[in-house]
Amino acid sequence: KVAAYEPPALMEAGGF
Amino acid sequence: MPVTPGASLSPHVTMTETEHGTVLLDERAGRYWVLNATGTTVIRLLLAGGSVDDAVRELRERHPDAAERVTADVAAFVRTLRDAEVMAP
Repeated sequence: KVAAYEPPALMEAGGF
Repeated sequence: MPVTPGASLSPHVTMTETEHGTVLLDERAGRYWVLNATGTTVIRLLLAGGSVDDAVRELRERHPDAAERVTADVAAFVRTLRDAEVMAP
């Protein structure tokens, strides 16, 4: 089983 | 294509794997990003010396049903990496 296609993405998740 | 083989992360960016996925830490700006699975595939391939075309080919092989959109998606992703200064110029 292959995961459904998602466009490659870079998601900003926060700061430290 | 804007990324040439032998691409590398910017000096101030560190990449690591966590239970939540691949995380990029920008030590200069004090922020971090999370990559989704296909983003991880692309960036790993680029950092291993592959080209953008190699990344497109890889995603097409994994997701033949999405073959038509992969080229544009990867190009947009690479632009995002550039804009975020994740990849070294």
